[in-house]
Amino acid sequence: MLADSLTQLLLSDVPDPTDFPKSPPGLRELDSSLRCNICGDLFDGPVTLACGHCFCSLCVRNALAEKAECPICRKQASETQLRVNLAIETCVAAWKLARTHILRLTKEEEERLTRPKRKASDFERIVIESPMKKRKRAGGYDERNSSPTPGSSKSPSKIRPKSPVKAKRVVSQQDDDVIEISSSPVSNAPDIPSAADLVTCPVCEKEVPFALINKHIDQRCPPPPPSDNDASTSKDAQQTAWSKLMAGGGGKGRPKERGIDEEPIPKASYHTLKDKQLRELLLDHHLPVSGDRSTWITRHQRWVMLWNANLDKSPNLRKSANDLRSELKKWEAEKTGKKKTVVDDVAGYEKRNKAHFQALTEAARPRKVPDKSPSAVAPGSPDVASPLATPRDIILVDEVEEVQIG
Amino acid sequence: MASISARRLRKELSEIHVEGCPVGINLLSADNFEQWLLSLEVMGESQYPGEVFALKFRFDPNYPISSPAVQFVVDGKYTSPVHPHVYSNGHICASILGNEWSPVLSVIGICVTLQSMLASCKKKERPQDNDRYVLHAPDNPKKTRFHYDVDTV
Repeated sequence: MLADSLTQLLLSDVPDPTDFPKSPPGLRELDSSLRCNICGDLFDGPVTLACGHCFCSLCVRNALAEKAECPICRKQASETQLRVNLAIETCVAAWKLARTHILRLTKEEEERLTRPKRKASDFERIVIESPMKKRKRAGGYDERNSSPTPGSSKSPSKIRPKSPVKAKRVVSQQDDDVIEISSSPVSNAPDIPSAADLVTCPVCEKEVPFALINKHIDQRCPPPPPSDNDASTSKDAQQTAWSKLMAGGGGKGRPKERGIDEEPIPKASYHTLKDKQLRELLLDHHLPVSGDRSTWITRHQRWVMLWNANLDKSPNLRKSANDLRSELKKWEAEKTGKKKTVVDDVAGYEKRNKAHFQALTEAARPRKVPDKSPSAVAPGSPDVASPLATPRDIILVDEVEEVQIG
Repeated sequence: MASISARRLRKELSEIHVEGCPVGINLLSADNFEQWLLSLEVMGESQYPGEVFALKFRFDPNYPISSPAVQFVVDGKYTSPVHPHVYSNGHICASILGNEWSPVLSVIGICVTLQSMLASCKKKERPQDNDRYVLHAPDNPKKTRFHYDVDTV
């Protein structure tokens, strides 16, 4: 029973670092280092605080709204410190592309290694290591590896399936990774080029990086994305480049028509705003004005958070304003949905236990007076550094009050 | 189910599943993303040799931004440890569960902290105001505003 429901929860597919086995070291750590410590997902709009810790923009904005300190090191922090971390963002984008592929490779490798030892040498093995640490193999393999043929370093584009009996040594373009491949007579597998090598697509006959070939074919051979060189040569690109310069100020090279919309929204000091102004604030952003004033405030607060977090992403990764609006709607529905059940419960609970509550209130009343004087003095010296503390003074919250608030 | 709290808890669960729990901590039940039970035992020399406690975690949809409600289970099978920070109804006075909560803390992280809290206990006693507190304590320990002092235990 317990095991059943537990495995059911585990079945829902949420990727996390434990997808990777421990054995090729570094992969699990790499995956977890590209994840936000708050949500556990790969960084979405990574931002760095003054202390250097990195989070998803929305996550850390949420956390800072609760408490103005770094969630990891507890150094004082504020939203103004947030700096976009572009390097991590590109890193995450690349890792997202490579992850499934590498996951598959490691799984295959693991399977090969767990097969019976007698057979292990019969199967194709891939060892990726730096030349310095190149693994020595016992027996016949050593002879072949120790005498690399002069032609072993070959043009990457010419990689074709080879006679399966031969062991081949392919030196990748960067020259710091060595891939050894020895194929068995049974497996009939071709030499496997390294991820950066160009291979010819069997469908459109274009040269595509090996790491992207599967995706390329899956997407029905799209033309390769224009490189920087291509862009600068085309006339249109030149014009847009100039208009970026002439527009001035923008700096980030966003299309002009979106420029005005894509400014961060400042926080509002809601208590100084009249209802009408608050309403206008919402209408400015095409947000619904249903609900009461407190709903408006939470809605606007959330909107500012979503909007500003979205701006911390690169323009091509940003969501549209409409997407953000539907996200806000979803968030509100989730929130009020939960709230409603609680309120219903409380109403019933309150009615059923009214007499009990009253008795409790009566019982608590005479005690409250002596309690208040020490508690008013005590909070003067709260020690924040210690994670544990003695409960010498406790402010008791009247249960009746709490229920009404909840 | 796709909410942030469920995703985050799902990740924590799979880590527990793959990596296992630290010594002395075991997952008793995690059938949903609202309430988990874990067992806790203090290893090595301590005031609690051979005693096994159970911790109840209750998560709200705002987890991990808001802290989980954590308390020791007090029923026929389990009792609350006798400790100057732990009330007889299972409520715990630990700042990391209240104003010192950080969203980067995890279920296992809390268990380890509480384990070390018990391990460092020198004298088995209840909090001074145990009886008064237990009489009026709300069901959810998060509704109590504890006052944290410098830890001297």
